[in-house]
Formats: sequence, structure tokens, C-alpha cells
Amino acid sequence: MSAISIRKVQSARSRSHAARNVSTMGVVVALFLIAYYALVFIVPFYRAIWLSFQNWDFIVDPIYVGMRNYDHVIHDDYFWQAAKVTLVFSVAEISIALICAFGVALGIHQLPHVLQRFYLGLFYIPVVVPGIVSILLWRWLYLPGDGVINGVLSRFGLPVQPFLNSTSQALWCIIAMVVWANLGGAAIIFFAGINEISIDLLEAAKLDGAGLWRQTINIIIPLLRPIFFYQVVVSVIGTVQMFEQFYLLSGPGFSTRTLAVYTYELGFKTLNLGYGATVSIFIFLFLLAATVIQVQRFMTKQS
Amino acid sequence: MRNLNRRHFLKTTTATSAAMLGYGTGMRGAFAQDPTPVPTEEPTLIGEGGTEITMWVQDFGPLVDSFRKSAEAYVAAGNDVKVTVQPIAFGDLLAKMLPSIAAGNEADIMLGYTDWYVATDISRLFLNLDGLLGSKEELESTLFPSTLSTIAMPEGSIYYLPYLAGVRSAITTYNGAMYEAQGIDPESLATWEDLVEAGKQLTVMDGGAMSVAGLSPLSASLSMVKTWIWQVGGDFYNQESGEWKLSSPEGEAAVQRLVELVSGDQPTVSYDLASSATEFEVWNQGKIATHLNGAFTIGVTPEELRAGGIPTPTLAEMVNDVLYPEHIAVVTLSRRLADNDEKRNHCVAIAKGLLSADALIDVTNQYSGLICSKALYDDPRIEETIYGPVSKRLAQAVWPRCQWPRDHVANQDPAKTEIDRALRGEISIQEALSNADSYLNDQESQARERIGL
Repeated sequence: MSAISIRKVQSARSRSHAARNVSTMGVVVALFLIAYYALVFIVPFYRAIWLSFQNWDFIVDPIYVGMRNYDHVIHDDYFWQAAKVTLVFSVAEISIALICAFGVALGIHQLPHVLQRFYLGLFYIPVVVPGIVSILLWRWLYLPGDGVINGVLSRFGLPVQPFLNSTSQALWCIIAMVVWANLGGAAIIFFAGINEISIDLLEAAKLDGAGLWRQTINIIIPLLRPIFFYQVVVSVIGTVQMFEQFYLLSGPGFSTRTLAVYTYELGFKTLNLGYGATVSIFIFLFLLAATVIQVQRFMTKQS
Repeated sequence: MRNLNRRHFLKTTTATSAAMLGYGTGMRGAFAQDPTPVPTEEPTLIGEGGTEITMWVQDFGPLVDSFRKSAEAYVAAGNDVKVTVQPIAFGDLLAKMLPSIAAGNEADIMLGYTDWYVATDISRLFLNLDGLLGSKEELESTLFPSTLSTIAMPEGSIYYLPYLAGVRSAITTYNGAMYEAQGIDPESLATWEDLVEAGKQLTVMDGGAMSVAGLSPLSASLSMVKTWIWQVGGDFYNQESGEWKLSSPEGEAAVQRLVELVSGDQPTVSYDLASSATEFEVWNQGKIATHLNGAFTIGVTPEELRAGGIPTPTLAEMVNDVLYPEHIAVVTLSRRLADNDEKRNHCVAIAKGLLSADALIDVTNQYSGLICSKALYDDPRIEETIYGPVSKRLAQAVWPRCQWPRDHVANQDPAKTEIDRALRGEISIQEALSNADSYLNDQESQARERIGL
């Protein structure tokens, strides 16, 4: 029997073996998941694309407008203004949150075991607090005049601040709130990553005279690169889609109007669903581009 | 200096954090009086009958009570219905109203606001009420006629029942305690200019910062611009062509009046103290003497402020005595009722109960805004309710002067924000008005395309 014939037989046996191993239950579960995915993602996504070519308000028959909505987005100052707010928020929030979370994780890692649990629990409390409660709490803290933070500032002789009344401060107020709310979750992931680093490696570095700073820069951060990558990708998506915080802690003017809020306003307040859908398509494209760039950078560094 | 070891660092930071927290919360005992947001109430089930009826109402105490009482009275009269009264927060009600109607699962009886419905074809939203609650002429004889003309109605039909209104910008609300302390009688303020002068006297500066705003127009800025354009004989919207034009000498003068209040020689309000979003909270703290947020605020203001209201004084140079009260709350019925005579009759009867003199008089025990029923104020019982007298005085002075542009832009917040930017000095008045026109014209043209105008 020639080598080619042997390979053909082996290939046929392999296919037959694979066919016998197909589980009916597995196929059913897979089909269910595919159907579910199609129902909650693919259908709405294609519906959104269709809608972006219409002028529709929920009630009247949709009117086909061709590329008008897309052309409108390009020339819409409100869209670009919202995109700028979204970009500033994402970059600032992710940068601050990652540095803080890593710092907290590193700090907690230096503590005795009992205190580690205590502090991890303490930092994790905001994560389990319902979002609406956190937002209202911070709204209370930021109240102008008689707010808690202004109370503390005035007790120390510092000038009171307008916070959410100010176009220049409102966004940073929300950034502070979001960093506080999500710090615990990110810190735990970093903490788990640091714990995974071989103690031998760190001990060897210590013997070579490396202090905590050198260990952090030369060992811990490089080894935590996959975690940083994961956090950045998830945070980019999370911050761009964030809504409640901006809706309930909104600042004056357009200072805190992000693309997510703009989309909501177009759809549910202005009743211009077609244009709102177009803006949401652009958000999707931005997120896709940001994620692809991150993945490419990570893969390049890994290789 | 002693080295800071880990134990010492932890003790210090923990103690400092605890002290800061205690310090911050301890001195805020007075905050307990501030309004606290509460979760939306659970629905109330009334009756055990065979016909199920659902009512949606904004989760504002007086409105919810009135809806419940009307349903209870209808059930108590022996009608075979089971009524669910569902209170819903303002923003949620706005967000779900049109999608629910489109999906065919809206409530049978709904409370909403006229400006939610202007950007679509209202005849496809709600049940045509022609003849169900009397003829248009009969309604006009019992209601203030202006309340029936807030939205352009196809073929002059009736699709909503005017209920009540806070009338932001048309009413000036004042802190009676502050006015009395300054010896100013709000009823004596005949013109807008008089009101501004009073606002200047009432403004308190504390070390270079404003601690009390004498007059805040922030929540009603766009409405005041529209009102003033009309009052001096101009116009900002053409019903025929659908063109918006706030950019005009009258519009610029109107915004300039507002700018003077924020950054003039003697400002009466400061953005460091309040904004459009926080104006009501700051007012409730007793730090705003006068605002234009609407008559409904009188009834939800702490008693010690002794809030009262007057129709917003007109400009001294006024040539048209008109006011623009933004929107009104209306009661509507589901279009699905057209196919169910029995249920429709029940709903019409409950809606009639909601708008009956008894129910509306009861509302004025909690609600200080304006009721749209003209006949109600002829009932002598109105004088005996808590807010009946003030509501009557304001309604009779305001409703006959009200005017509506009957435009088709549902969300005018971006235009208001442009005015706000001019007030803050971010952009010029001309740029703000131009931006507002651009937005309003864009949305207007798209709405008209949908409606088929």
C-alpha cells in the first residue's frame, strides 16, 4: 500500500471517529447558544445597521434616507464634541484606574496575610455597592455649597469648589467616582497576578540588591503585561459604553455628554432613532479599531 | 524625623481616613432635610373586576394620589374593573412611552407631557377623543382654551386631555422669608426690570463669593428667550415653513438680559452656586431668593422658606402680553381601546373622574401648580384647599396669556445648553443662537419629514 493510500485510509478513519464522537446534546447546546447569540446580538446589530439608513421615530413608517445620516455624523459638531469627551474620559479614567489599582495591589501584597484580606475586602466594597447608590452618594458628596467635600475643604480653609456645576470640573468628578467604584475589582486581578509571580524570582532579585522599585519595574510589570492588556481592552469598551454615571451626574453644558449619552438622547428624547443608530455604529467602529490596535500591539510585544 | 514604618503608616492612614469621614458626615446633620431620591413605588392594584386597566403616572406624589383615588372611586361605584396604577419616574416614563406604544404594550391611561409628542404624528400615538369626552366646543368651555392648542392636532381633533402644569418660566417663585426680610413685596414687581432690581437687592456676597442668588433664571433660560422675543413683537418659529430663527436682534437682546444676571455689573446668580441641574436643590437650601422653575415648586419647598408665586413680570418694553409655559401634563388613552368598547368606556369614565372638579380640588391640597380646568376655579371649594387660592390666582393670570409655537422638536435641551454656554462666556451670544437655530432647524426638518408636512 502506498504512502498516499495509507494517509487516505487514516484520514477516513479519523473523520469516522470524529463523527462517532459528536454528542447530540453538544450539538443541541451549541445550536441553542448560536440561536441565543443571533437573537441578542446579530439580529439587533443588523437591525441597527438597517436603521442607520432610515428616519424613524418608533411610530411612523421608517423613511429611507440613504447615506444622509452618515454624512450628517461627519459634519455634526455635537458628535465630535461627544467623541472628544468620551476620549478624554476613557484615557484619563483608564490611566488613573490602572495606576491606582496596580499601586493598591502592590501595596496590599506587601502586607501580612490577615491584613491583605482586610484591605482587599475594603477596596472591594464599592464594587458590590449598586451603581445607582454609588452615583447618588457621590452626587451628595459633590453638592455645591453644603456638600460633604466642600464642607471638608472649608473646614481646612480651602476654597469651596463648584464640582458638578463647573464645565471644567464635572468630567473629573465623574472620573474620580468611576475610579473609586471600580478600583477594587481591578486591584484584585492585579493582586492575583502578582501572587502568580514566582517568589524565587523576586528573592533572587532581592539578593542581587534590587529594591521594591527595581523589582516592580524590571520583574513585576513585565510579567503582568497580559493583565494590563486585558484591563485596557475591557476598560476601553466599558468606559466608552458607560451611561448611568454621565446621565445621573451630568455636568453643565456638553461637558459630560459622551457618545453613549448622545445616542440615548437622539433615540429616546429627540425621537431620531435612525440618526441615533448611526452614531452607535460609529461607536462600534471606534471600539473595534481600539481593540484591534491593542491586540496588535500586544501580539507584537509578545512576539 | 522618625522613619515611617509599615505599621505606623497603616495606623496613621486609617486614623486619618476615619477622622475625615467622621468630620465630613458629622457636620452634615442638616442634610437630612434635603430631598432624598427614592426608588419608584410599587404598582397599586385596585379592584378585583374582570376588565383589567393599567394607568401610568409620573411618580410625583400629588399625581399618583389623584390617579389612585380616581381608580378607587370608580371601583367603589361598583364597576367591574381591576385597575393597576403604576408610578414611573419622569425620565423612565419619557423613555418608555413611545417604544411601548410602538410595541402595543402601553398602558390604557397615561400621563405624559405635551413636548414629548411633538416630533411625531400624534394621531398615531393615542386614541382620538372626539366626542368621547364631549365636543371640542364643550371642552373649550370648561378648560382654558390655550391648553388645547399646545400641539398641532391633525384636523383639529382632540388626542389629549389637558390636566395640569408647572408652567416653568411663566411663573416666578420667590422665597417669602427673604423678600420680607428685605422689605420687598413681590406682588409690587410690575415689570421684569423691577424683578431684576429686587434680585440685586436680595443677592448676598460673602467674601467675594455669592452665598445667596437673588434671581436665578438658569432652569428657564431658553423659555425666557422665547417669551421675550414674543413680548417685544418678534417671532422665533414659522409654523408654515418650520423655520426656527432665534438669531435676531430680539433674540440677542433676550440672551443679553440673561448674561447681565450672570456676569453683569451686579450679578444675581453665580454658576459657582447653582446650575440649571442643581437650581432646585440650592433653592431648597434657602440659597436662591427667586427662580423661574415653575409654580409646582411652591408645594415642594420647605415650609420655612414661605414660598410664593407671581406671574413672571413682563418686560417694560412689552408690546405683546404673552407667556410661554413650556409644556403641560396631559392624560391620554391607548389607541388599542378603539377595538374594545367596554374597556374604552371604563377608561373614558376613569379619565373623566381624574378631571372632575372633586378630583382636581383634591389635587390642590398637595399640588401648587396650575390646573387646566377653567370651571374648577369657579368652584368655591377651591379657596379652602392648601394650594387652591395660589393655584387659582396664578392660573387665571397666566393661562389666558399663554402662547405655544406648535413646533416639532421634542428635545430642545441642546438649544438650551447653547444659551447656557453663552451665559458662562464660553461662546458669544451670536454663536449660541446660531448653534441653537442650526440644531432646532435640523431636528424640525427631520420631524416634518416623518410626519409628512
